[in-house]
Amino acid sequence: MKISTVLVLMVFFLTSCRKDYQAPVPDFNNWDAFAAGTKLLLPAQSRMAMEGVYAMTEGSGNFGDSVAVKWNYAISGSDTTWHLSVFCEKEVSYIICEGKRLNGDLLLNGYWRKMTGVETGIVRLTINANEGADLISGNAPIVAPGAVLIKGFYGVGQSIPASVLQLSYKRKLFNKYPFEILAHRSGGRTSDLLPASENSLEMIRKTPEFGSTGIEIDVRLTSDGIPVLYHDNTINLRETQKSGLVGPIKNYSYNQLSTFVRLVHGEKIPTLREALDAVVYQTPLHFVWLDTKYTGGSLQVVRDIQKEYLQKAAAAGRSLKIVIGLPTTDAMDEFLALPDFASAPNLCELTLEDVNKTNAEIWAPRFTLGTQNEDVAKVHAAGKQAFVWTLDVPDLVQQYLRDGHFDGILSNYPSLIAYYYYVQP
Amino acid sequence: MYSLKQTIVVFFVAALLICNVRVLAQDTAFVDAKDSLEVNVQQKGRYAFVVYAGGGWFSYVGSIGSPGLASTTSVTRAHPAGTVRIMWHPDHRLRFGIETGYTNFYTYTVQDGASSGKVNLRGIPILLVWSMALTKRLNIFAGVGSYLLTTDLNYKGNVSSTALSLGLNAAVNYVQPISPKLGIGAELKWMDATQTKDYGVSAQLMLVWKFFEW
Repeated sequence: MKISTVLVLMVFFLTSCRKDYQAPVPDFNNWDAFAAGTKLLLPAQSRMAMEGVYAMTEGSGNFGDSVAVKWNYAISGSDTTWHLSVFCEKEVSYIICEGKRLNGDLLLNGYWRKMTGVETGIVRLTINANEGADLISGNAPIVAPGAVLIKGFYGVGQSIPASVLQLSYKRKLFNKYPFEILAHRSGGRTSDLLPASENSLEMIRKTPEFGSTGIEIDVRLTSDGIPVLYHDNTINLRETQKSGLVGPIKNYSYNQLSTFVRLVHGEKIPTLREALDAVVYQTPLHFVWLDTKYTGGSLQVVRDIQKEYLQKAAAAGRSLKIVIGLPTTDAMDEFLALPDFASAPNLCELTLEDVNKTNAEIWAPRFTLGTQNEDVAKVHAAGKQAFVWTLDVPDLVQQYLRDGHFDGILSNYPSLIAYYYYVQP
Repeated sequence: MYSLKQTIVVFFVAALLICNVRVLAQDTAFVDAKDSLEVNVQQKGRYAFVVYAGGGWFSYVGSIGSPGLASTTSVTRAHPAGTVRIMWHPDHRLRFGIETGYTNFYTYTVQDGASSGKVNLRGIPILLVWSMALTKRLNIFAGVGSYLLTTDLNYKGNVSSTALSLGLNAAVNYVQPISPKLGIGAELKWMDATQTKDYGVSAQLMLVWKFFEW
């Protein structure tokens, strides 16, 4: 080997960089007709009538043959924004649109994304007055197959939409049994290039757009005992922007983290209170799984906040379940040390014996243990629920929905679970 | 900044070199020690441990990052740095050893309303190092391993917090012999805590001592 070869390889090593993958949400706020529209005020029965399984009559090459269409909302101050989410079969894709009304037509403006890659683009859709917009504006309409047509275009990246997209109503969404679609880390992992950081308030507000009915959030304690949302043990570049701060998050006070640390998309590390505030007052989410990541500190502070926000949700007329997750025997031991543990809603990931010991409402085994139908039946017989985590593969999701009897699935891709749950016959 | 792929490339290059040591050892240009520091050449059947001790300056090249709400009032990127390295010099061209040292990567101060704060990030490299003499006095070094990073934060309380980061370095030095066992030199080094994207360049004066041979 020549010395020059070694030097060339060293130069290559020192100058090479890893490709930086990004999937930014395209700027879709440049549709003149949509800008001229008026705020969409759809009564609940109209939204429900429009929700359903649709056939993708144009655009199936990109999104698949059938989709699930569902409304969701987010509240900011006194303003409620409704989004129409379209959960697609192909490559874990989804479409998220805001709605407006213009001359009797319903306009839908937004973007699409494939979670299996970085592909994304702008979507512009219309429901003409005589193709369903009138129908779904009526009182308690009954929509027949083909009675609602959603037509328009989609583009790639920031390009103006030019590829034809057309959806035709087929039938209602599946809802034969209640089911929780739980989003991991408040909505999904930062590594999946979502528009907000994992375990952030912004992600909590966005996750209903991805089909989530509930969230799992990771709780750690700061050095001054404040519960915050953060997954890893240490401050790192996977979760945060560069700040010069390294080491365990528990080494820093909340003030220090709040001043010096920002999550990858620039958000502050939220406190548990802020997160539950967002859930109760800004989203339709009705389930929160507090995954307690710390040991060696009392769970009492988390229990107190749990009680407080269950009361706040009840006072706000919200149906909300908040459970303390028990992933390890250490966490379980700390939970059992609470004076009122028997009445504290909790989710136990351990054995059925432990579920009884902690008086858990929910048993949550990992998916690698299989569908475990016999044990799930025992849990149901005891009046409890069973969730499974963390399912991200389409074939497995289908298998668990078809062969299993779980009451909810935790996933990094809630839109994937939403699609396969809602399109069931 | 660097992927696993590039790390594998380094190991691959090292493996290739190891496979070729016998061929390299036949290179007579590295056997003649007449006007070179003895520790800097290879003589068949002779082995030695050599210590490199250096001190100089480090200049941080990476971005300081985003210090949240607080406004950054000053940033210091240049700090003193030191190196201690022990190498095994066999009778062929490729050597290896371990390296440590000390450097301050950077310091910044912030003003957040009435409160001010200071962050200092320092690192101790803990690296396996490979080295090769390009000429009688000119050597290249490449190291992989970890950096023990420590944040010293002074803002509404003092915190000292440590973490390990994967890292590497690459250096070139020139050693002038002053006796059969001692030399002085200068070294230019790239230091890179890859996991935390903290990196910079260091220039150091170096004392080289062959303290044991057989």
